Amino acid sequence: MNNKDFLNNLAARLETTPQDVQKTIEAFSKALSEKLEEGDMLTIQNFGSFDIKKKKERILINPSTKQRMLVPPKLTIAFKASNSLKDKAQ
Amino acid sequence: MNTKYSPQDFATFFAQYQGISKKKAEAFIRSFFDTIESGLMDDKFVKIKGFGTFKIITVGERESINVNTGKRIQISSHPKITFTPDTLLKDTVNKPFAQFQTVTLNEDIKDSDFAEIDSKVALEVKLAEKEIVEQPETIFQKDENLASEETTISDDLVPTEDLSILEESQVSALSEVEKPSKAEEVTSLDNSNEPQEGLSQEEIPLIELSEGASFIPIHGSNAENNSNETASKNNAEEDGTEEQISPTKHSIRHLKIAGFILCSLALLITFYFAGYYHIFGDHMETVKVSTITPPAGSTPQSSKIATLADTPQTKPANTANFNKPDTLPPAIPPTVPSTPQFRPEDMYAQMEGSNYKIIGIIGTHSLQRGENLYRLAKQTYGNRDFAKYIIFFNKIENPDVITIGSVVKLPKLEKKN
Repeated sequence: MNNKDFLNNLAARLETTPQDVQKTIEAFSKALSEKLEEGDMLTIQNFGSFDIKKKKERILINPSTKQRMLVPPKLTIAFKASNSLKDKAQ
Repeated sequence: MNTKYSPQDFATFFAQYQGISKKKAEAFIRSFFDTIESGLMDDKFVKIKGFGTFKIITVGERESINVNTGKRIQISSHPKITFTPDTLLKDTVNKPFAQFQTVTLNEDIKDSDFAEIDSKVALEVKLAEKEIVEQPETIFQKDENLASEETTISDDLVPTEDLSILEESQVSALSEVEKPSKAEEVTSLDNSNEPQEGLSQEEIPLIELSEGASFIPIHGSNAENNSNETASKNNAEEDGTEEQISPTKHSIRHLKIAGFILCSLALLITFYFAGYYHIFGDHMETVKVSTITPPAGSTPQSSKIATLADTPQTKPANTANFNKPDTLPPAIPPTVPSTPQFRPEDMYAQMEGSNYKIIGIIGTHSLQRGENLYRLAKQTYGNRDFAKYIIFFNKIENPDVITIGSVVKLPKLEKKN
């Protein structure tokens, strides 16, 4: 399901326009990331949880130029599906 | 890691954030995830702009070992739901680290340094269990985002698969432990980086350090040294970070100074040896005219040019020509010989500062393989030290390098009074 379909689907459910939905999604993203930054984890029942994980910095080697690069540490979002969802996907 | 947000809690927050009613927020969140779910079931993937992509991936079979029993078990193929955040979301989440960028490493940073750093970090930071530990990978990296995305996926694959062996309780316990300490870090990061936010947006310095976040500077300090040394654009302020960086900077400087000193020492030694072995030529030209009497003031002597092939039985008039390194003035015309008294040693140039004078030639010796002058001297004179006379007499430049088959003359030596 690509973005367009998703928007349409969601718009239908919410009885608003896709554009409105898109905007809300972006706001939702921002809110989510803010919450995650504070260290809270968002859990959706029967869906899964979103979490923040920190990645250590590491050395990378570009195989063609043989150059060594240093990738800095970063924070990433991790998602863990709930068991019910996993079963459903089966 | 403070709280688990349920949809209701988050809805409240979201409502406030967005300025919409709580009901609407809740409805949105609910339908949002429902749609994702149905989309996933139907199409196996859902792409949401501004959020991310959910995918269902089928993980193949593999063998593994039951952690508790140690027995081999087979993990069957099963589906796995993955989520990769969108660029927007990623950047927002990564805001505390936003000022870091990938940097080319110079040669002075060794992997051993990282090992040291890592152990330090492990001490300071209490959480270790679920951290995604990266091994240095060979990844072709054209687009940094792309690469990190790929690695995120692979990272997700690896740890969670391992965790599937663990019991649920263990997993949750781990996550619980991890959360509080992580929260500390992340918040401290946040706070400490706040004052520098304005900077980072304007200058975009390559690596910037903050004092509050203790684990970053240790990693980043090396990187910062590199960024300073590489042809880099804007450099970050170093005020608060001097203590952290200075040890490494100083050590590099010390290395440079030490290397410098070593080089100059090596040069000095080379020049000494060059002089010793007369590589650059004697500072005195080989005078083809007569030699001059030593300062002791013996009678002037004449000499003609002669080769080493002269036999010892030559008349006084035909003398071999040698150098007197010391007090030799430049070319002096030959004088008429007026030697009142013939002394055998006058026939030959004498070695300066020696206890023995050369008064003749005992014989010759042709050098064989494995022979050296010292042994020869011992055989001839009974003492290895006499090799110096042989060397001097035969004008051997390098006593260690003598060709096989070359003939050396053995001087007859008499002790001086």
